[in-house]
Amino acid sequence: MKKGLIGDISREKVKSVAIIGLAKNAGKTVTFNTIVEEAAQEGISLGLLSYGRDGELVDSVTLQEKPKIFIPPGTLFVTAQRALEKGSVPAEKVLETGYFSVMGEVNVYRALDRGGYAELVGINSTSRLQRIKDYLQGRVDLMLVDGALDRRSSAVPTLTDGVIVATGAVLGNTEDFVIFRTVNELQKLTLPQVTDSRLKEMAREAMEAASITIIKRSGELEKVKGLSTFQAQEKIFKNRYMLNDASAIIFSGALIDSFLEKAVFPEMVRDCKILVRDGTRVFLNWRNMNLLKEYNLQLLVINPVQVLGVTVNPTSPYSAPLDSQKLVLGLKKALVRLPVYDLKGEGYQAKRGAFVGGKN
Amino acid sequence: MEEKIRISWDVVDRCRQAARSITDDIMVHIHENTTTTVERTVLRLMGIEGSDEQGIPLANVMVEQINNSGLLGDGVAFWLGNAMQATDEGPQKIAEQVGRGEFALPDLPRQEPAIVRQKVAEVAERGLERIKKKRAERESLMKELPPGPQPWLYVIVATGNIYEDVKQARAAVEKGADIIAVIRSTAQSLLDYVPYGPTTEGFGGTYATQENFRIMREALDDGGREAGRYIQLVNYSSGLCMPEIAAMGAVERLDMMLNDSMYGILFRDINMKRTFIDQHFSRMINAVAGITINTGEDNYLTTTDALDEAHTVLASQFINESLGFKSGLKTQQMGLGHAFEIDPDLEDGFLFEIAQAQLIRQIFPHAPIKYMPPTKYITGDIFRAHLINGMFNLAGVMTGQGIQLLGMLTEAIHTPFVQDRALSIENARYIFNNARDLQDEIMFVPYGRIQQRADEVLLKAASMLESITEKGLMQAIEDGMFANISRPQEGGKGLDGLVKKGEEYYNPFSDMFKEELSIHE
Amino acid sequence: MNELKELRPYGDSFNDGKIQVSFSLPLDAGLEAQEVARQLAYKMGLEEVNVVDMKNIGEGFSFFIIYGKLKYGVDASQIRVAKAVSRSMSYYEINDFIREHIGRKILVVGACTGSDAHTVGLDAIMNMKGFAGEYGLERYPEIKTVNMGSQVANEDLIKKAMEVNADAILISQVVTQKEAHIKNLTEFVDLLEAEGLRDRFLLIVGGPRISHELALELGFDAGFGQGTKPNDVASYIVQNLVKKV
Repeated sequence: MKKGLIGDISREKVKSVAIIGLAKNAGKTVTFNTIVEEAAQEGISLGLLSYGRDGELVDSVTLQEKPKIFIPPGTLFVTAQRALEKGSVPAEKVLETGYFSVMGEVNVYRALDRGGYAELVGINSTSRLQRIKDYLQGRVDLMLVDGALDRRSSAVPTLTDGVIVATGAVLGNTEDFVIFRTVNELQKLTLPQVTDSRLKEMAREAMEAASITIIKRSGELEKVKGLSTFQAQEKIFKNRYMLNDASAIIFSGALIDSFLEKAVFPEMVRDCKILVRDGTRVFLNWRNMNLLKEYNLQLLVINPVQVLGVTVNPTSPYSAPLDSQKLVLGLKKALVRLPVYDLKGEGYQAKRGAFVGGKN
Repeated sequence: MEEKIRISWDVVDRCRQAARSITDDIMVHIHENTTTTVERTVLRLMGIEGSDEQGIPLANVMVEQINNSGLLGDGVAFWLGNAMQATDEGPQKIAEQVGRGEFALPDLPRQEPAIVRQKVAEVAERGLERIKKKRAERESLMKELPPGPQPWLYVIVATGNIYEDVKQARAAVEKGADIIAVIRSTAQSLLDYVPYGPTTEGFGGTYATQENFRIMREALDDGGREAGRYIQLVNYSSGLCMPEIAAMGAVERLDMMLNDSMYGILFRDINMKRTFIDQHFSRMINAVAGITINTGEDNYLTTTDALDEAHTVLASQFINESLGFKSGLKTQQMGLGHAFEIDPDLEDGFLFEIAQAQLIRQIFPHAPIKYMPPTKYITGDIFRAHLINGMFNLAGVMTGQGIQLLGMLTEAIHTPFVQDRALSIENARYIFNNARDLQDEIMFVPYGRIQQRADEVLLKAASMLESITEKGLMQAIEDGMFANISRPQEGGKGLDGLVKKGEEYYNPFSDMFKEELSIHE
Repeated sequence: MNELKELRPYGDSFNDGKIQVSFSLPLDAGLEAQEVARQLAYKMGLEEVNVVDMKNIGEGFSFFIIYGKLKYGVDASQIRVAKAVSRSMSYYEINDFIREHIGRKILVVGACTGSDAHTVGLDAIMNMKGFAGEYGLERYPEIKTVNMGSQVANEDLIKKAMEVNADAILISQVVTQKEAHIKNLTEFVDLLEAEGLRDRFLLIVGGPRISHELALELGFDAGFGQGTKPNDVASYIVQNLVKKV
């Protein structure tokens, strides 16, 4: 049985995985590199890209050098021409995307010989990511998407089958605070799926028809259209009675704090379901997440995000390192069934040492 | 004081009368409304502290919650008291529970109002006592360590890091500074909340937080003891959180607060209806706390021509004075502001500066006039800047200004380095010492340029004020009569924080302050 | 021409290299501090260092005025100043370009989002007056602008951009060291993605610490840093709108 992160990924039989960070410096790239290395050992063929990176090999915020990425032979990867030239991986171009980066044309390449290092750049929106995915599908066993900063949109379940979440000391100055914030963020990402199949079907249709749809207890539908969710919610703010007797509120786009604070809560909506497409559409703070529970308002998704594991980086560029053990155990306890690793920690290294055979 | 220039006191009376009538109108509006920041101030004075997990202060969370439910017209004090009565918990405990989303304030059943008020009043009383204690502490320290002679040397620190600020402030005190102002991080005035804790990063300044106030107060008390004179600490009771910062200053014994009735409207595009209410409540706090306010008329001269618009400064000073009186401030607490901003290339420009400074000195003889240094015409030429600052210092000492905000030779380049501040203090000390009693030797020529200029400015101010009485202050601002900036009555930041008081509106501090300050409406 | 080869400062004779520097040290004035100052001056490339004034300026700081001879020169005949943007067009070119290639007025919405209230940068790009002798976008006859000012919530900016059917959204941000603003910028893009609106606009972010690379990482289309002029931004917008269409 495969161990480590690649084991968790393989078990779920996912074809594409996004790595998302809960903050910058949470350890996304270390996570990415670990999975690449483990997959290569297991003979899993890879398609690699980075969601958002671009430019030179220095971090654009801290001006420190970015960690390089090792590309195993045979791997398909997306980057720009000049970024490839700056790296050491011999490669052949297999597809021109037509996109441009700071570093030139963005292409899909195949790594040759023994592989080598390269920086992956050039893809920074979900529509571009979708195009790359369409191409890679069937050509590789696993597509792996490195995240950018704290962006979540690459985790959309229609885009990637599974997600590894990177968290770390950069989120807070104590172990408890990091755990607390990680759990809160994961709670949003992994909201439960709607089980009532009739409601699910209604919601799917409603999401195509209007920005916000209110289903009354009588079964009547109130469709609130707008150029965006924000126009639609403005209409509801002005006519809060629309929420009376709501049994479900369906969002085609984003659910944000102000909707709850200015409409749902003051209008005393209770015992109602709120449906969104998936967890990446939820932009709510902790208090409002709690108040939802308090008022028996169930937040549900059509497409659940499958979180495969959590990695935790106990160091932060801004503060003293935290206790790795405490973080890992605390997160494991709070997240119940999810695997949690400190990839640089002794535990993981030891397990991996046996597995990769003492490679440096 | 002997009259160095002749003042037409009948014209001054006309000005004051007009200002009174202008501010009477404003007071009607003030009495009918409250704002989110006034309500947050009530919570802060009730002892509520801390933030939620996203760093949003609990006071904000509670006031927003009540406001979203359309209940803020009752006064947040009522809803806090209601929760205290319903849950039998103290204010802070309730705030924390609300912050975590364990319940929302409007969900609790309404309790008997008389009991609720009784409960709130007991806590509020302690808040007032805390402020009065700090005032007494200042008075006794000032007796023990009297501050130096005026003009006081006022310098700023602005590193962004409170601990670096402390070092630089102490260095300035050692060099001779009397007053230290901690400049706020750029644009804190537009934050609709006040952060918590000590802060070590900011842009162009350091966040005003209660903890930062405390840290600097302690350092200046120490430095003052070593220097043998009381060192005054300044911050900014302005922007969207004007009264909250006044409350913080009151309990941490700040001595001065920048606090203007119109600055935020004009220069920060904060809604005027909100600002007028905020300035009133914050000034009551400053009045009770014995804090001297600094007004911001000097800024008008940075956007307009200082020669053409000098009268707008004077007119605004009359308005600030009148609103100050109506908030219970004493003249001695009004650091009315103006500035040395006439184009240095103008022939006889220095004479016009003297005319303005002398005029204001004589019209408000008991107010500690705040004199701002040249900034508009200061470029990166530090040598020229140092010389112009010398002329400014000379104007200050020869017209007996109260608070001399020292110009920095590196104005327009960066926030002052430690040596910039030292050089500017040396500049001022040299001139103040070298010309200390010059003012006593001066009488201005009766029909001279200075006298004529002063007459002209005063007359123009009177006619400006009288024209405002007709249209009202809000319309005057809308018409761009101050600083050539027009602001709409229904525009600007923070209008959504303006709330009409309900029949049952309750604010325990407003009532206590009025009694304390003998304000009769 | 040859004398420009190794050009040095001029004190009172050609290439004498004489300059004055002043600085403070976190040391009490004294022989040790003076020696530190002198050695620092040597390290700056000064010779014949003369500490002409030293004094205490409080709290253990001292201030120095130093004269010395700069030992380095610069070949003044070889100086070429690089242009910041390679294909920046002029005000007139841009307006012509829009008439010719786009055929309608373009619309730009700008805002400082989140708690950021530094409107100076945004105003320099958007307002009539402009910056460094370049007219602001508002002045362009072929560009319509909406400047929402500071502290605009992400959702309000998106709402406005949809309402006016904007071509480009311009966000001005001061990115702090602790990156509080980064969160706000990534959230903006994630919100657009959540709404399915990401590809409707050119997304541009500007600010003193913004680079083009950072902008892309944030999910924007372009980033502009210090010294950017309105026509740089306008050039980018029109050139890329054409590509988009």
